[in-house]
Amino acid sequence: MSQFLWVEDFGDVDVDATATSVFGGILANQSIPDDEFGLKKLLANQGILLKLDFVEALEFIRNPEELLSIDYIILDISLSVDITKNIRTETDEYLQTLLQRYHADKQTACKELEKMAGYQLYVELIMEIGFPKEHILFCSNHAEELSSIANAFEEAKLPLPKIPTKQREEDIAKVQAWVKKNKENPYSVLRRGIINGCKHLQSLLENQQEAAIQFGEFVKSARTISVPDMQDYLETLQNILPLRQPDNPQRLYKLLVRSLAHEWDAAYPDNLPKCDQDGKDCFQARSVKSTFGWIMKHARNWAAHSTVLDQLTEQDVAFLFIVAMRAMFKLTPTTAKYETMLFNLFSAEISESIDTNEVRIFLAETYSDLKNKIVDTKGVKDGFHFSEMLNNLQNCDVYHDYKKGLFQMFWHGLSPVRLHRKRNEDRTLGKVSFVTRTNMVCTNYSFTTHDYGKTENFFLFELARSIYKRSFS
Amino acid sequence: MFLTEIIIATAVAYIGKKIYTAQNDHKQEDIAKLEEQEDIAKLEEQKAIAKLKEQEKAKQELEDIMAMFAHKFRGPLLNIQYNAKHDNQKTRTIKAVQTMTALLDIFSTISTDDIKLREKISQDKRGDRTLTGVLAESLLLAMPQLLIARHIKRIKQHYLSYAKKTALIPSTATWEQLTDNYLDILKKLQTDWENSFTELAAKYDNLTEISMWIQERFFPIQIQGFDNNPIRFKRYDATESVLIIVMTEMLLNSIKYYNATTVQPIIVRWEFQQDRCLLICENPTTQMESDSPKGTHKGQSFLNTIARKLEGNFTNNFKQNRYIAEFNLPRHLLIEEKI
Repeated sequence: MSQFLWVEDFGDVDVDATATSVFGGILANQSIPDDEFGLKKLLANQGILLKLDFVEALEFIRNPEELLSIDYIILDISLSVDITKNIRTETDEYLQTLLQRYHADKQTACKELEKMAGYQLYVELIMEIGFPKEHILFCSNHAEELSSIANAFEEAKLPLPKIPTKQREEDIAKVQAWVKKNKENPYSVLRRGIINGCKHLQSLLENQQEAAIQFGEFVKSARTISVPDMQDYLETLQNILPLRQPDNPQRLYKLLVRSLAHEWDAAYPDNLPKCDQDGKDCFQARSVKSTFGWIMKHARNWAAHSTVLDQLTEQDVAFLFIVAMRAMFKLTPTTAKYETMLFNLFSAEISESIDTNEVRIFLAETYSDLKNKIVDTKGVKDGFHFSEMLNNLQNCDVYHDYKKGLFQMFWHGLSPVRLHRKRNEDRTLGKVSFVTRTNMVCTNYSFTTHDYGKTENFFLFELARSIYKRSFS
Repeated sequence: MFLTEIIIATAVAYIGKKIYTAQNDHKQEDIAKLEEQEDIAKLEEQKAIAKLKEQEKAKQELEDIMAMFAHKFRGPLLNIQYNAKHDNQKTRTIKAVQTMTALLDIFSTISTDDIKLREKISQDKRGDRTLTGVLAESLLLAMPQLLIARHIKRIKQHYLSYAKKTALIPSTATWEQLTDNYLDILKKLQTDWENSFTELAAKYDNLTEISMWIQERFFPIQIQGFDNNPIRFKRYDATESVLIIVMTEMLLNSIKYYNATTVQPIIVRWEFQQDRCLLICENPTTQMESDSPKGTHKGQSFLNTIARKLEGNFTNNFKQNRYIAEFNLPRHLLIEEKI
């Protein structure tokens, strides 16, 4: 979900009532504290950073690293100016210059600035920093505050933004709708998930150095994958999507996926170290790694040599990002925060029913459909594994939904096809059911059972639940 | 022919000159008129600006009064709320309602008629209420406003100092650490203090008990010139209401900007000086405390307004790490002049 900076001086107004007016739409059913510090803590867990006065907010927005951590800003108009706060020297110098502009006497300057503090932050954000104005919402506590700010905008020849109040019911509805829309904006959620993911992995690299890198296992040559290489790679990825959503984000999505998959040119999932015969855990882990590796390998080749990945959605990019990071870095089995954030892109489609044993994983159907297509198309080389067939089909420019195919590779990678000697044997394997076409030779095939992480209920299962519908519907 | 031309030319020139002169005269007249009009416009503009400023000032004054009105209502309201929640203290509830009614009356006078305000005070010189009672009442109104959860920041130095003094947090902890790492402790302190004071307010209204409660958690209070003071007035009447408003506001400032690293007292002093009565509130402070924004500054401008309406004066100074606020008003408003 997108992250917000909320600059609010509660003054004499109720803390909980004000928070409800603004974030009521996304804080439903939560007990909202009646003090600003308790609220600060609660909101931080929701990706909302609360700053309580002008100086605190100024320090935040003038720090590029901090500003990168938020997507939208809600500004109060009148804010107290706490000049006693510990701030960086450069912010302090700027603050002193600013106060001088208001009045020679510091206390008078503070009082004057208080009334215009929101406007001052707005100007700083859009004029100096280039923050998109569509990402800023002014919100006033009292309608009386509006005249002074309207004058300031008029004098600066800036168009006056719409300023709803936190008191009128119709305004509250507008504010909450703005918050909800932007909180769930797929472009913003994707961008935020990628930035946070890259930051998380950069910090992992910083702490664990080479031990955090898994990508080396895929690389055939003697080439070593260094920490600085991976840091650069992550730095590039997080800067591809700009804060302001472009008119045609698909172009950037393709560029992002090309950068994401670029390193897979020299990587081969078959190169993964083999497991001992008894190493069940190793085998399982290798199966996941190999699956993710093949998804990335094919994504790399298709993005580089074809147009099949030209029209990617936010879900597609999120899936590839999650898969790439899991393949390239050694992550714990639990779901990372950035992954949870990206799974939100699938929230409308998350399959609850996968939790039960009745869900059908359409392995046989998707496998036989692909096999049919290969058999029916002249010149396409047959293959045994699903990913191999899909790649062969793509190499011959045969029309197919390859994006969905990448999702299906997840299921087929973990439940690989196998040949059966007897007909009709073992058609339902453990927890996985599949459907077959009666006139197909597919009765000769079956698929290895896999619970897709259900037992551990960690990351793998979250991924499976999230992408189920995208894979098969 | 030549002569005719010359005559015509001369005539033309003459007429032209006449026209030019006339035009010029007209122009000068016009310019003079324009200048006059400009002067009038400028004057009108100046008048309009002055009027606008006056209106702004009046609007500001009204806003300050409204803010103060809301401010002063909060104390008794909190009392009523607490009593309602705890289903007891009927007497306290009635008292709070009466205080609110009295405040309502006096605010309506303050905002409309200065002469009537002074008359009302001047006529209220007998009764069983004393300045000590007003001070106790003012503390009972001021404290709940500062102890509520949403005003934690306004007395942050007191929470920090108390938490350190009682070893709830390390002695080196900062305010930021208290809010980030020890938020539960801070919340508990706030809730405990708020509940404890409300309970106290429900039981007692004498200055000794209140001062003791404050001293345990905040600072000592030194009261000077209140005992044996001849000023008397009626309960819930004009004088008591005005003095409560003034004292509460001055006490709020003293508590908010008190330097909690010291153990020096807040001094509340009443003085008579010739034809004036003086209420002085003095507390230790620091530049840091003084610069820290803990309110809307409306309180101070309200004190200025009310002092002006009473033909008095309000001053506040920050001198040698002491904040001194002084409110004076004509003696004859409070004390019967001996003839």
